[in-house]
Amino acid sequence: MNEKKKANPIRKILESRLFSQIMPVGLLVILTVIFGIATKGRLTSAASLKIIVEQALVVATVSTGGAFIFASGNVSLSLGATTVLTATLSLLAYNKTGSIAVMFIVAIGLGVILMTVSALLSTALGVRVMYVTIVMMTLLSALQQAILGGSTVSLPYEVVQKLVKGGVMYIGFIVFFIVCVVLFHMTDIGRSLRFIGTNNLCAEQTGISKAKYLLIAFIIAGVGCGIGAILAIIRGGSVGTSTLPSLNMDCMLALVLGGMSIFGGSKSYVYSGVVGALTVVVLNQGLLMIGVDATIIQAIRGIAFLTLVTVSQVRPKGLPAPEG
Amino acid sequence: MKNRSKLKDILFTIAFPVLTWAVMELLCLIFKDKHVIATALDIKTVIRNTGITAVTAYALSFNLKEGRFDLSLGSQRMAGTIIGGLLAMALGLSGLWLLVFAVVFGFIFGILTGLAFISLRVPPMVLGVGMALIWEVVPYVISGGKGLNLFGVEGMGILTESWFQILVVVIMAVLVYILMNYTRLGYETKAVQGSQLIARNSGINIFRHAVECYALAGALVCIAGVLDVSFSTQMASGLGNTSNGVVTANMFAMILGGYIGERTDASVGILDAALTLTIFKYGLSLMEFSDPVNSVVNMLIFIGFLVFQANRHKAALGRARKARIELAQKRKAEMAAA
Repeated sequence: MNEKKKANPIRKILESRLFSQIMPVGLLVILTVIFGIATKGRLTSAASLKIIVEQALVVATVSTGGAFIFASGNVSLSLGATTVLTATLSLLAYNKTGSIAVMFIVAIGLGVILMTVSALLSTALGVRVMYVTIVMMTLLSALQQAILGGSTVSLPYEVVQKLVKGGVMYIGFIVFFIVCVVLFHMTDIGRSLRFIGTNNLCAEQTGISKAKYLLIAFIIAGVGCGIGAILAIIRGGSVGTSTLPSLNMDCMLALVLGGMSIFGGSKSYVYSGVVGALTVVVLNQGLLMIGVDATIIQAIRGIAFLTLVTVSQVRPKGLPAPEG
Repeated sequence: MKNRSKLKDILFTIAFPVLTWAVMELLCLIFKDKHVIATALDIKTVIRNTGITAVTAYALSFNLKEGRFDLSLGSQRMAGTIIGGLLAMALGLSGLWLLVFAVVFGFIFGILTGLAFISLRVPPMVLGVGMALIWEVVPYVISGGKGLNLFGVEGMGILTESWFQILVVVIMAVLVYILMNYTRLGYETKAVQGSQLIARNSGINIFRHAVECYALAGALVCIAGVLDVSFSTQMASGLGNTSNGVVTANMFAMILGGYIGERTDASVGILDAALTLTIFKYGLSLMEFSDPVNSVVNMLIFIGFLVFQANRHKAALGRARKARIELAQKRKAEMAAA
């Protein structure tokens, strides 16, 4: 059969690399301008923009780490639970020792350990990624509830102020982001993960170890969860069972809004998490400021999420494959 | 050819709840000087919880068997139960009608989710996250954020009767058994489980089949919702993708049920697994394990079981490999001798 297919020009544009790079930034700019006009400049005031950036930092950090997992074509639903549990335990570590350094070490160490366990369950022990991610999400949430009960743990106000004034939130995020950009776009790690996401089988047959690179991706995501946990502590000052309840969803939404294909592969960019996190916050704040009910905003987010996922993928002829 | 006796299979099936009960009974006696099941209330609670777990696991199984995890199932449960309940209350109808309405709404939400799946064709887990955000809003807006409250509402008594709950669960088990073994849906499920591509190439309409699976899952999960609300009398209308916890917690019953069902049938296996896990959780709560700790223990055991499931074929493969090598060596020796 030698059927010649006419390329749909709109589809061609939507699937082009340039579009996937420009679209997220364009969307962010357009949303900011529209909401800026609709709110008569309140959204684009210096104070509002500072709040938007600060609100986006936790999601941006966690989703920047998560981009490594998503690039390989895998989906992790336990990023939020890992971050919150890490934040809880690192705060408890601070309360026990009174040392900021210990809190930082525990946060990053624990983030890495928890994500490594998730990775090893699927790579070394052969459990399906879909099961691992769901079970870990439930397990880590339950663990946090078991540790905290109904209480919250707090960081003393003066310590929070010291960390805020020291710019720890910005420094933590920027350092992690730069390292991630280098690893993702300038080393074998990013190239291999994107290759695995594009064609798993082909990547393995060219000598790329899927298990090894998935483990690396989960470790980097774990570092992101650890730093995200620290940022969440500094921003909120305390952690409870209702802290960051929608972090997982926000990270997925951020990555998709930031131009990352949900199937991973060659059109994966590490900055997707940052652009997307800003877009999520602008969307939320903008809609709130123009008087849209918070409940309806959730539905709008759901619709926007599904629309962008659909637009960013090549529609399969059949139904998506079993895994995931 | 496997030639297991039926008796062996039946004993294997019964062993799970019986051994679990025996272990928990022993632990409860040692640590708390209590019996796991001592009163009529205990029996009633075990029946109800088994029913909720089993029906939710049946709902999960329609899609999960084919590799699709619907993360919006919890929101469908919440939306169908709350809207069905509010409608039955507004019309002054009995609990039986609440169940009927909930199933109908669950079915509708399931169909809509299925249609979204075959139209958008995004990975099921990703679709589930997006759909959950949308479905959670529906009961919240309709109930004004209040959810469903059956406390003091007349005519709902039938839902709390143990005989009614047993009847509902048995009907569901029989229905799932018939659907999976004697209908086109069951035939197509087995085909898609093997290979979606081959199933499609052999003429199965995988799109219609997927919508049917989503619709049935939506209807079933709302039955679990009604059984749940009949006891608690309240169902909150949660937002922020929080609705799916109750469904994912029952995934263990579905996977364990699939394993037990290899010897009998998946519908029997899931019911058996639901009873086993209910007794286990009930025993832990009698030993004063809080709900989160109970959850942690369950999930750790679940992880252990998943690891076992993923690797149990390795021993058999090793034995087969060893036998193959031995046969080859024997043949080589025979050829050398000849």
